[in-house]
Formats: sequence, C-alpha cells, structure tokens
Amino acid sequence: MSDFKPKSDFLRVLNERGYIHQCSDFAGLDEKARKERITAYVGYDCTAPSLHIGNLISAMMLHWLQQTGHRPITLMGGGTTRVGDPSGKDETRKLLTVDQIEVNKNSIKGVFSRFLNYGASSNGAIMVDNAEWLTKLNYIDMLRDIGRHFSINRMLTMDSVKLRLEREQELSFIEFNYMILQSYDFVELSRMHDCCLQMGALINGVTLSMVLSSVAAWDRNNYMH
Amino acid sequence: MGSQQLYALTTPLLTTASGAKMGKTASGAVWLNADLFSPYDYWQYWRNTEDADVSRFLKLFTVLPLDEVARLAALSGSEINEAKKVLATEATALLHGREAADEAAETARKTFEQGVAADTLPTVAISRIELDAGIGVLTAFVMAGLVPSTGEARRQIQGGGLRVNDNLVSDPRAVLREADLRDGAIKLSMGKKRHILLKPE
Repeated sequence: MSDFKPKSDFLRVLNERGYIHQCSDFAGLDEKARKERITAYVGYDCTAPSLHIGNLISAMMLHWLQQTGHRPITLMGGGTTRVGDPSGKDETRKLLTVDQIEVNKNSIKGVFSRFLNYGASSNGAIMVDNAEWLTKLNYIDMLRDIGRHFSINRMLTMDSVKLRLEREQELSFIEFNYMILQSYDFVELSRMHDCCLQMGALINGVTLSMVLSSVAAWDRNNYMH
Repeated sequence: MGSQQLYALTTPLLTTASGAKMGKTASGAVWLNADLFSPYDYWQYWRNTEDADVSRFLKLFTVLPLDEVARLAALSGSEINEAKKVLATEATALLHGREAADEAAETARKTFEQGVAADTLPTVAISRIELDAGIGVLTAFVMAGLVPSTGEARRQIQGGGLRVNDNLVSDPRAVLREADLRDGAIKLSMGKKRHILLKPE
C-alpha cells in the first residue's frame, strides 16, 4: 500500500488514517470509487449481545465510506451465526438457538446509527440480515449452483480448516459450510444492492480469491446464458 | 445482469504498541453497548492508551482532522496525557454521544483530584519473573492486600468492585501481564477509594 497514491476520496481518507492492510485490486477499486458511487458491506456475526472494540475499525471504515459519498451496508449474520464460524476456535462452537441469535441481533443493531446515517438519501446506509436469503436456500440447488464452484482442495488449505485437521480436532460439516455461505452473501448483495466491495479484518487470502472466482463463475452460469 | 468486478479490502489486525491484542484487557472484553461497558469505562479504556499508540488511535478511532491529530501526537512528556484525554473524549463522543463523553471526562477529573494521583499511591513489589509468567487477577488482588482471599476477590468482581488501571474487571480468569503496566506499575483498585500500585522489580 505504501507506494499506492489513491485518487478517490474514499481510499485516500482510508489510507491516510491507516485503515488499509490489503486490497484485491487497489487501482481498480480506486478508479471505480473515483468515477461512481459504490456500495460496500461489512458482515457482523450475532454471537454476542454487543459488538466489541475489535469491530470498531470496520464500523469506522463504513463511516468514512459514507462520508466520502458512497453507500454502506451493514450485514447482520442472522443466518451465518446459525452455522457458526470455525476460524479462531479450537473446537466446534456451541450452536446458539435461533431465539438467542435474534435477541443478540436486535441488541447489536442500535450501535451502528452512531457511525452511519440510515436515511433515505442516495447513499443512506442499509441494514440487511443474511437469514433473509440463507434460510431460503434449497439444498440441491445450492449444491448445483454454488457447491460446484468451491474447491475442497483449496478449502482444506484454509487456516481455520488446516489447524483443526493438523491437531486432529473435530471439524463438523456444518462449520465447513460457513465460508460457502459467507461467500454467497457477497453474491446476493452484489445482485440485490449492486454491492461491489467487502471490507473486514479477516478475509483470508485464499477465501478471497475463491470467493471472487466462484462469484464470477456463479454469475456467469446464472445470468450470462 | 453481468458479473460486475468485486473487490475486498482488509484492515490491519490491531495490536497495541506492546503487542497485546486490542480489547483483550484484564477487565475482559470492551463492549460497545453502554449497558455492558459504561461510557466512563470506555473513556478510561482510551485514556489508558500507551504513548506510542496515541497518534495511530486518534486517526483510527476519532474523526478529528489530520492536522489536529498531528498537533496532538507531537505533544510529549506529561503533555501526551492531554492528547490521551482528547482521544478518550472524542472516541467516547462518537459512540455514546458528546454529553456522555463530557460527563465521563468530568468524572475522571474529579476522581483524580480526590487524592488518587498515581505517584502518591501505596506500592507493593512483585517479581518481574512472576509478571512475565502472568499473574491471575484474583491472586493479584490478594498480593496487593486489597482482599483476604481469591474467593473474596471473585465475589468483589461479581459485584463490580474491582478495577485494574481504572478499568472494571469482569473476568475472574483474566491474567495480568507486562502489557498491563502503565508507567511501570499496574494500578489495582477496590471500590472508589482503595488503590495499590503493583511494581515489578
């Protein structure tokens, strides 16, 4: 990032203030953000009744995104939290009940209005919940449309998976699905809200390229023919 | 609809200058909801920022213009504490509103004036080797003589009575380490009036 001099207000502010670690394509994103209003999202899981200080950075990035004229989406993981993120955990998370997740979600939501405006303006923030689309997925359709774009070989190289395997700790199939569902969110947001950017602390390099290629392939298969 | 180009942007993993993961303090997780972590505790959390982190945190966690950040970051010696107060008040105002932030700053000022200036507090020596290995928070309060037993320390934590470096302790399993040192000592408090500094030697 050090050599890159962004021309868009959005990346310039983010860069100056120290929010950026890596980007899949600095030049491409910079050019797009300079030319048009973009839509970007951050996903938040609903495992606790409040966000914590580790979530502040991404909330601030959404804040600056909006301040520089673009549209933020806060994605509540009402659906993905039902599956559970395997990363950073030595063992399977205890599954939260749907009720608990709902309670957590409602308790988390309020804090975002401190950082973002959810008004009706052209770049007013949007809040969505991935339970909206994930709970409606049909298993066979999902395997056919999405599953075939995911390489098991590559998924096995991901840190969250690799560590469990190396330590011979149980990794259940439900957790293995987390990254697929998370990737599918991007597809859905791209279709529904013309969202082109995901921001966050932990977007594993392998996942990222996998997401991007599978999204592209998925879109081609479903919309281009 | 065609497949539009998609992008991803990642943030640096945040650690403090001494290498600790942010938000993992002896006091447990730093929540954003006020009912789980009060505006005053939030203000104190930022006030306890290490010198070397002040500039970076002002940029990341406040919306102050960068020239103002540069001015504050250039302060040195005891003046850096003024920059930390600005950081604390601005970060708290962003999350909890200006009124709550000013109130927290005022409470902190009063508490300080009530004779708890850090250098006048009683000190208890601890071994550096012990601190390197990590001292359980319950044990630390016993060592400081603030409670007679770890059981009592645990009860005090449940009642919200113990603080480490002015931050409320919520996790009885928390461990004090070198990263918890502020100006060479760790401040332990029971209630509002009893304070001890643990100093490694």
